[in-house]
Amino acid sequence: MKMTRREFAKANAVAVAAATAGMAIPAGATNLITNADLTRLNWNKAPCRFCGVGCSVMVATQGNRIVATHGDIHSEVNRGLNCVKGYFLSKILYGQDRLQQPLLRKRNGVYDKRGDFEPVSWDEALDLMADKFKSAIREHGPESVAMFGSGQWTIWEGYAASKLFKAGLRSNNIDPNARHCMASAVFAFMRAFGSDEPMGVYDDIEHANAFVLWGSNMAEMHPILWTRVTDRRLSYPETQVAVLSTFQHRSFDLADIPMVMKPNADVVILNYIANHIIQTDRVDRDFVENHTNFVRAVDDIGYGLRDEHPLQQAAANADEPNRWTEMSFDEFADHVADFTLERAARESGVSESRLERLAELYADPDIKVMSFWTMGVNQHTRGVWVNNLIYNLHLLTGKISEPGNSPFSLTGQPSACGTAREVGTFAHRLPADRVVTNPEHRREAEQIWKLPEGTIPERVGFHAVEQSRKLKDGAIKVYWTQVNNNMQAGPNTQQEILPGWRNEEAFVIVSDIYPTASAQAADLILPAASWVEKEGAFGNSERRTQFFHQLIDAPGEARSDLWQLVELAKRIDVADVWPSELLDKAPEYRDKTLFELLYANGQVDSYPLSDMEEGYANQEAEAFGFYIQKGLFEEYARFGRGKGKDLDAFDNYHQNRGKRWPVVDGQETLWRYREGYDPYVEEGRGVQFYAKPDDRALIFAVPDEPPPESPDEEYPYWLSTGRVLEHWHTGSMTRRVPELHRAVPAALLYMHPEDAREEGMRRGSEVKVISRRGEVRLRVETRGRVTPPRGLVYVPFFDANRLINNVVLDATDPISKQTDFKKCAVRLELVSLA
Amino acid sequence: MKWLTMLSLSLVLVVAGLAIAEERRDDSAPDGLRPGGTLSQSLPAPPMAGEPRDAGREVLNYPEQPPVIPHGIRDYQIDTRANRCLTCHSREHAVQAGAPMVSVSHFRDRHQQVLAAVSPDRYFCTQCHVPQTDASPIVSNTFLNVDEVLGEMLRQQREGGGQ
Amino acid sequence: MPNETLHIASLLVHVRPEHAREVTRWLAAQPESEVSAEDPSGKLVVVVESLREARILELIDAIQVRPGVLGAALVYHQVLDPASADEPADPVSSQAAAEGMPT
Repeated sequence: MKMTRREFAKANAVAVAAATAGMAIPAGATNLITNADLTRLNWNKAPCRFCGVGCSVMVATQGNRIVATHGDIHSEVNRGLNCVKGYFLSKILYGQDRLQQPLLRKRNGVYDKRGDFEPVSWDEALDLMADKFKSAIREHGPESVAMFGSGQWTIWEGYAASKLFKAGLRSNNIDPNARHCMASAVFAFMRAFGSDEPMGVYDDIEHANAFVLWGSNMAEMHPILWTRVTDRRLSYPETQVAVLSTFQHRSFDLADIPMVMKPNADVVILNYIANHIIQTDRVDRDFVENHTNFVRAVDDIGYGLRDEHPLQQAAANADEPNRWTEMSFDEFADHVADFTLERAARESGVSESRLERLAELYADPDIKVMSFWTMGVNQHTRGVWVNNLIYNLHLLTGKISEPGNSPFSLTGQPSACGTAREVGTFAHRLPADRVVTNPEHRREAEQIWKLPEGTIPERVGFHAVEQSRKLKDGAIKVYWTQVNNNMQAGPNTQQEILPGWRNEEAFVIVSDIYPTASAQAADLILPAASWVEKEGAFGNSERRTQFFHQLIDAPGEARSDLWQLVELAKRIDVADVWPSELLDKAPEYRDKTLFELLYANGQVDSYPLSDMEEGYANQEAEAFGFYIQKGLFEEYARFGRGKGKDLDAFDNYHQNRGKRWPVVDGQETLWRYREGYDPYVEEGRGVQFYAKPDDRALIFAVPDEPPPESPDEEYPYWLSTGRVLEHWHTGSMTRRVPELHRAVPAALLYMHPEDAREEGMRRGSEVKVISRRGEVRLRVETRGRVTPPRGLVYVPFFDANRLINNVVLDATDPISKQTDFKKCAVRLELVSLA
Repeated sequence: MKWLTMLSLSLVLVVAGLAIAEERRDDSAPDGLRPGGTLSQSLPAPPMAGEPRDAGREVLNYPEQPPVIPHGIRDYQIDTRANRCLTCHSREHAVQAGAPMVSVSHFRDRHQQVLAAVSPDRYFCTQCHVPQTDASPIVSNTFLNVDEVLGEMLRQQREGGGQ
Repeated sequence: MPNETLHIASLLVHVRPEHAREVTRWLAAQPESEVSAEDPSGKLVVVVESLREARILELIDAIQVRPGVLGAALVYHQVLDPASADEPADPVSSQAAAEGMPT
């Protein structure tokens, strides 16, 4: 039957209206249009693009666009629920100003640092990048190039980038933004257990009868896990929730033991609880004797500031902060004996009765306790110590590695675990917990990568904050950032980061999907593909690796970070960047490109396009002619298999809702280090911390040390920064979603109404927040979702027009090099009362 | 007097000159959420957004989108003692309060069992439902709902056929 | 731009079920509209065909004030060249339609 155009249009009109109303297409119209392609939505799973919880969402596509998203009921993580950000995932890629072609600063037709952005072709952009990398390495050595990556990279993007830098360009100057986020957790895991990432899983929530939030606001930052905690608390009324923070926030709404403490008082409180456990004789002697050692950490370790800073000069152990010496249990007991209840209450400002109730959650052997923490602990000049102090409590009582007893380090980003940590994209790491400073680890990596001995440099590269400093000092000549926005998210923007990026010496490349603050400060902007515009994999906080297919095409000329990395590698010859001594060891690479060395190496390129699941596009695989994601993943997975970090076979992950490593014989592992759950524990051992040489975890004695900057007469307020539920990090995606933007349109200065009154300010007043480093203008909120105590103000960092990091101090934990975004000193100045 | 004026004038000029020099530190850049070429500047804070007047219920973008809240919720208590939202939106009170009842989906727990009351894991309403201020978008969004995409596809097909 | 355009639109009309019959009858009496589908809950799919775009909006307004009508919304709108409207649809569309046909 031939239809006329009129009939066809009418049939479509009926079909669309019927579909909208959820009605069956009327019989009279079925002979006109029920073409499956047109009326049936294509639904696929994908992990959420935002936080480290790793919810699974179902994504509906139609006509190469996302048209709907909702929670995936088949996901164990979220069982059909999403937070408000997750429910609006469908809109994050559709901001009007998506970057669609490369942009280069030019004057008179050529690149000029002071020029204006002009569209250029990918070839021009990549050729120039290759020239800049080659000339920098030729003239200044491999340490003159650096990359800042992300816990939002897919697993293979992070792996490809790490390999490009550490093996190809022979520079360890690659670091992820997870440095700002999880570095303290990583170092504490390695110190205490010898293996990164939690021993427990989210299932602990349904087994625990006490939850302690150490400086974490899960209600806003990990909302779906908070729904599980809420479910447990409200369904089992004997469950207790303790919430400790430097200000009151939404998680306090569920708290049975609410505690607002003075900044930096967590060290004292944690040491007090250890003391309480010992004093009341509730140490699990058996566990402690068989599975732990006690050590004393070196003290006086400085603040991760520039070397010439007086505080660094004054610190005895600033150079080697990550050391410890053995001690006995009795010595440990002596050490914590100073931390009495009375002292903890005095120094923290929390009442004795609440501190004692908190301590009992750990001490009482009948209570199964789960500890949660994220940025309140990690973004801390003593972040590694505080992580260790939390493990101390679980180790002293044996409340670890079993259902419901779980110290659980929450993650900020969707693949901070999967990419930044497991792949090892930090400046000191290699895949699966290896480090560049260990010759055996380097050799193993070189063998898997088929590289001559000595390819991977031994020296730890520049970490995030150091990269900013080295840019300002002119030592870094080429700098590339992908999937992060450090101009807005990094500390001390005006004194360190902006002058560094705009330094004449530096060529700065930013890959992003929108013109972020970082893109605005770049010299070359590369338009990126995001989320389901490419095939990807993320690893969440509970060791769950999840895959997603490419479901739509990226707009215009936008290309994934993976494509960008590999295309650059095609334009650089091994001989351009390797010294002749190294080339002599492997003459077969002399005439090869980095692409052939790293990606077309007989391993990464060994999976044909026919291995791809039918019905899905794959821009990169089609561009390179082999299933590159599978090749990268399978090569990478070799690092962890048999080492307690086993990943499943690539193809399986596309079929399931993720698996928690180690995955041995297809079985995931829920509780690590515990016999019966973890296949690595030897029979009869019960508990075995097998990543440590003597199978024992470490309990750390650490002192209390003051913060680098505290309020004084000139700068009388503490400033804490952070996020809000509705916006993800710097807001580049969520602020382009109308509903999320209208919900929280601008960053506000949250402060105590009495402080406002004394300053002559009120709700709505415009004020300047000023520190020794810079200033920012904000409106005062005295009745908002965050209620700070007297003397502390809170400002979220999502707002590009209010760069709160202008004000923040670039002090870090000296061990983890993670910035403390939670405390510095500021003063307030009224601009207008309003 | 004249001299004083001259002095203050020249001071103004010096200050203005400094301000210009300050601004020159910012190289040009495309506008995003932040205007291009302003990174070194401290931008004024716009007045706090207000709650929208007479907001009606908004059409959902897709069936499972949580409806946004068309009214203010400042100082609403939602904690273990009380849930102000449910005083109007619960099954018992919705009709009398003239408020939409919470969706039936909220009566299923994590294991898809149907409960007599709102599931505890849905207790904190504002994790999914957010109020809307009167703020205008900084950057517009080109998301199309399924009907718009279908319409667009059909239009393209028609145009394709006309070639 | 052609002098004359043909507008094809569909509306979703929601009526109280007890008024469905009279609304349907009224719609059928209008020269440009036809009711293409209805369901027991009171939802009607109405197709409008007109040479004047404004007529579609006038019709929506008129429907909205009929007794028992809860709402009327424009769902679909397409513009055709009247001169070629009765020519066969293009191959892609025809095939798309044919695939959905019961055989």
